[in-house]
Amino acid sequence: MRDKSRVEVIIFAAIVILLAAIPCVNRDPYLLHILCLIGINIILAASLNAILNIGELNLAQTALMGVGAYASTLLVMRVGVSFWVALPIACMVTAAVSLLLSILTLRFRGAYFLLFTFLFAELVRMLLSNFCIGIFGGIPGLTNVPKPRIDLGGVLQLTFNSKLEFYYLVLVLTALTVLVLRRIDRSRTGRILEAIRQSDSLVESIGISTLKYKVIGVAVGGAFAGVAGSLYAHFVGIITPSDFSVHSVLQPVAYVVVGGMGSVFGPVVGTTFLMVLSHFFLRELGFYELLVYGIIIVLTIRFMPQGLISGPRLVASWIAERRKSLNVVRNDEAT
Amino acid sequence: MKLLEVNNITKRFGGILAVNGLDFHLEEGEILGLIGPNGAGKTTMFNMITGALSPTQGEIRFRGHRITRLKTNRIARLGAVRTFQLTNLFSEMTVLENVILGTHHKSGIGFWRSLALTRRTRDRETRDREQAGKILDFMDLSAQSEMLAGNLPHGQQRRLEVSIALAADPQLLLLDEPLQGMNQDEVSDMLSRIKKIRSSGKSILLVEHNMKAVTNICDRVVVLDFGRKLAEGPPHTVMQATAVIEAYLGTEE
Repeated sequence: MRDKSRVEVIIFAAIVILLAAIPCVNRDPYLLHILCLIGINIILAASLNAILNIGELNLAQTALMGVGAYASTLLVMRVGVSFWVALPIACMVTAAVSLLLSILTLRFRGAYFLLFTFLFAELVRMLLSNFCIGIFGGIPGLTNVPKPRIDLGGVLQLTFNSKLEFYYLVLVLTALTVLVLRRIDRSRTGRILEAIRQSDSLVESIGISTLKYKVIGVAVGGAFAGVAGSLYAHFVGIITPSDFSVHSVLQPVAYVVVGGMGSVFGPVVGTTFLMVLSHFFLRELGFYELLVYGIIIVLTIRFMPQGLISGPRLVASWIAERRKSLNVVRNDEAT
Repeated sequence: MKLLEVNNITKRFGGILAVNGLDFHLEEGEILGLIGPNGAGKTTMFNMITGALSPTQGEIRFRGHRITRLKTNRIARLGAVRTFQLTNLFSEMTVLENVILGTHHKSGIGFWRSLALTRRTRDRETRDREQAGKILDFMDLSAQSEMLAGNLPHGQQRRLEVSIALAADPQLLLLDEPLQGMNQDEVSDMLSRIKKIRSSGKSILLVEHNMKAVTNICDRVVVLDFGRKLAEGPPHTVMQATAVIEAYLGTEE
C-alpha cells in the first residue's frame, strides 16, 4: 500500500517535471494555449469528482466556476486588488456559495438533488445576465480582464502576458489541486465520503453526520471550481454568463466518466485524453469531429466502465487470466 | 437503572396505527427481546428508537436524554447504536476499514485534522486501527481483516456488522434480526457472541423472529401485536401466556 502510493508520487513528480520542460523544446503559442486550457479543465473536472465521490452529480459545478470567475474578475477590475489576492478570495467566495447551495439541496438525493443544482445553475446565469448590469456586465459579460502581474519593485517584475508565463502558473496550480485533492481522498474524510457512497444509512448509524460530510464534499469541490474559474477568467480575458451555463457542465462530466471516477487521477487522465484528442487529432476531421468524439466516449464507457485509469488493471487481469487458461490446457495435456 | 424508556409511543401511517400507546423500558445490562408476529410494529418501534422515524405521539428517553426528535447520528453518539435487518456494509472496503470507520466518531479527527500531515493525526489514526483490531479479535474476524467486506460469507458479514456497531462503543446495542438467513451453527455462534457482548458491559435490545433464540438469551421479552403490548416478562412465562400463543398460532375453533 505504502509502496504503491510512493510509486504514484514519483510518477506524478516525473510528469510535472516533464511538463515544466515542454517550453524548452517547443514554444508554439497554440500548444501552450491548449495545455493551459487542459490544466484549467483538470481543476474543474477534479473538483466535480469530489462531489461525484458521494454518489451525487452537481450540475451547478460550472456555475460555481462562473461564480469564481466573476468574483475574481470583479475584485480585480472594480475593487482594484491584485490577482494574487483575488484568486484565494474567489476560491473562498465560491466555497461559501457552494456551502449555501449544499445546505439547501443536500437534503434531497439523486434526481431531486440534480434538479436543484440545475435550477441553481440557471439562477446564477440569469442573475449574471439580467441583474446589476453595471457591475456584472449583462449578457456580453466582462472583457479585458487584466492578466496577473508580479511587481516586487526592483527585485522581480513579471507580467503574465505571454502564454509561456501563464503556462507555468496553470501548471503549478493544477499540480497543487491534484495534490490537495489526493490528500483529501486518502484522509479519513475521503474514506467517509467513499463510505457515504457505499451506504449512507450505515455511516449515519455509527454516529457520523452524513449531511456534514456531504456539505464538506460540495464545499471542497466548490472551492476548486472557484480556482478554475478565476484562472479561466484571467487566462481567456473575456467571461460571459453563457460560458457557465448548465450545458457546459457536460464537458467535465465526460472527462470524469471517461477518465474514471473515484480517484483524483481519473479526471486528470480523462481531461487530458479527451482534450488532446479534440484539439490535436480530431481537428482534421472537420465536419465529423464531434461525431468521432462522441463515438470514442461511448466506446470507452462500453469497454472500460471504470474509466481509462482502470486500463493497466484490466490488462494485468487479462494477462493473468490468459496465463491461467494456458496452464489449464497444459495440465490437461500432461495428464 | 433504566437505560431506555419508551413512554406512550404512537405511530400513525395515514389511517394505520402501526404502534399504539406503547410503554416499555430497558434496564442497564439487560438483554431485552422485542418480538411479535409480522406486522406487529416491531420494526416501526425499532426505527423510532434509532431516529429513522419520528413518533406521532409520546417520548423516548435514553440515559435520561429525550431522543424522540434526534437524528440517527446524534443518537448513536449518545451511545445507542443499531444494526440493520438486511446486510449493510461498506462492501468495497476491507473488513478492517469497515471497523475503523465505526471508531471514527470517538477519534477526535475532524475535517481539518484529517488533512493535516502531522504526528497527531497519525497517532489518532493508529489508535483507531488498534481499537478496530481489538474488536476484530473479540469477534474472531482478525484472519479476514484484509478481505473485502463484500466477499465474506454471510455469517461473517453479519458478525462484521455487529463489529462495526461495537466499534462505535455503544452502551446500548440495538440488533435488528441479527440471525436472519443463518444456519444452525451460525445461529448458536452469534448467540454466544451476543452473550459475550453483554458480559462486556453492554445492554442489548433484540428484535428477532427466531423464538428459540429469544427464549435462550433474553432476560425479558416484550411481545407486540397490532401495535400494542400483548405481554411482558421473562421469556418462558410469556411464551406460555394464552394471548401470545393465540397471536402467533391463532385460536382453536
